[in-house]
Amino acid sequence: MSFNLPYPALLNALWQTLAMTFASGALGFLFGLPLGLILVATSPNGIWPKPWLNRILGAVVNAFRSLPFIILLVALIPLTRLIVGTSIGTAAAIVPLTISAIPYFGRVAEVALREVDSNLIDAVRAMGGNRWTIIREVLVPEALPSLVAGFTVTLVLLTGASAMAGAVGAGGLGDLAIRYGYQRFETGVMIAVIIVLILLVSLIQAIGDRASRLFDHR
Amino acid sequence: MNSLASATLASATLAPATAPMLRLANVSKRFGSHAAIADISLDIRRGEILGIIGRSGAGKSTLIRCINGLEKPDSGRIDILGPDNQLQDIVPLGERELQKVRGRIGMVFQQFNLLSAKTVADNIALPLKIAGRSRTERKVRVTELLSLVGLEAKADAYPAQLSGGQKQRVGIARALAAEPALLLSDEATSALDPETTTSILALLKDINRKLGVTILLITHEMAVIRAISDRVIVLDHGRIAEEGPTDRVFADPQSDLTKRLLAAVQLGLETI
Repeated sequence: MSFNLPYPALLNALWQTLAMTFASGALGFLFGLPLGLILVATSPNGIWPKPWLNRILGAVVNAFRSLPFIILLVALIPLTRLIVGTSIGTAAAIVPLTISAIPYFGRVAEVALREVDSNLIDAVRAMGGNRWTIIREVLVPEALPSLVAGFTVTLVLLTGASAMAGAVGAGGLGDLAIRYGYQRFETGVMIAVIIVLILLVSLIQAIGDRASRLFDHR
Repeated sequence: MNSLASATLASATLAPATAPMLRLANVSKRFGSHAAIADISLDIRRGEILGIIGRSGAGKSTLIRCINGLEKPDSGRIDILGPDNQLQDIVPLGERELQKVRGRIGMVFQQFNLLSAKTVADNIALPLKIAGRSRTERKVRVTELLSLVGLEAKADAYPAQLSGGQKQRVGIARALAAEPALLLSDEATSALDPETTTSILALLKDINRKLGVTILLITHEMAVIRAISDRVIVLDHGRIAEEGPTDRVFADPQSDLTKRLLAAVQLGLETI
């Protein structure tokens, strides 16, 4: 095994993976958090009970979550073309990654938000707080450590999913491992990619754990 | 005489000086087939400490949740003295109007219910934020409240760093932040040891005397009632079993439940 690795390709692939993971992660958070809030608020014991809306939304979330990512990737090609202009490349892969991140983080956020002590909600209602106050002052801040932990899990999941985005020419570390390591039998590249992925995931997890602890005053 | 009668009638909505802080008239609330409270009528006078005692399941929590509009009674009136010195029935009010009413009622909880993600100062400031007060106003008021409850040094601490007694002091400061005329205390000392209970009760008495805040004290402990209540109402299965001045009820209890509750008193608390 030599250390004569295609460093530019490796660096480029790392950059593509980071771009896909963090762009879709950020968008997933942006849309997934409101989704989680709506799921919690509209539940029968929520602050805005709307059982039918809750059921419909839950069914849609489940439908998207039950699709394997590789299928979603292909099925969403028309949508991707509409948004990005092309269905090929790193930017194009961000669309299906985001679409799969939203329902995933939505559920993660729902669980985190549901854990908030309902007595705290009652306390703020008793002070004259409205729903918006409850969301801003109670639900989100109290759930923040769990939300951050859940977001970390989402990022790690996206790192893995982005490997499949090679199928639409998005590049990334997974794609590099398949093309060099698997198809061209360059075991060195395969091992290098695996090491980089392990380091990347460990780093994301370590930062996520730290951030979660930072927000945790319980 | 006739003109006097019509004048009285015309000003019927204007509360006379002796108007209560709160008046419940025939308030009932059922959950399914279970009557949580049934036909409750009572007055809370301005400036008094009224104790309501009952065992668990007697309807105390339902009663308090009806008073701050978190539950709607099935029937009856709940009149609360407004800032305009008029009694206002809150039962027909919508959510938005109820939010305003709740802003004028302070509430202290058994489990403190402090927000763990906020500092002590931010917890106390929350009712002021809800009331739309400016940052500067909030800061000034929080400093006053911290010194009122003796926690000046803990402004930047988080609730998890405080003892139970300190947490309840924060809870009381928060309840008083928006300068309510009425304070609802729901088993405020039930999670505290006897010594801390005494100091919290002393603080409540102090607030009642110095600030003139009317206090509705809900508890299952006779000792708490004896320590600071002016009057007591004994609640049993959602109905009023007995009511009267605390001294009289303790010296000469009428109902069987009161007698049993008194027999069970741990005489650890002195009158404050």
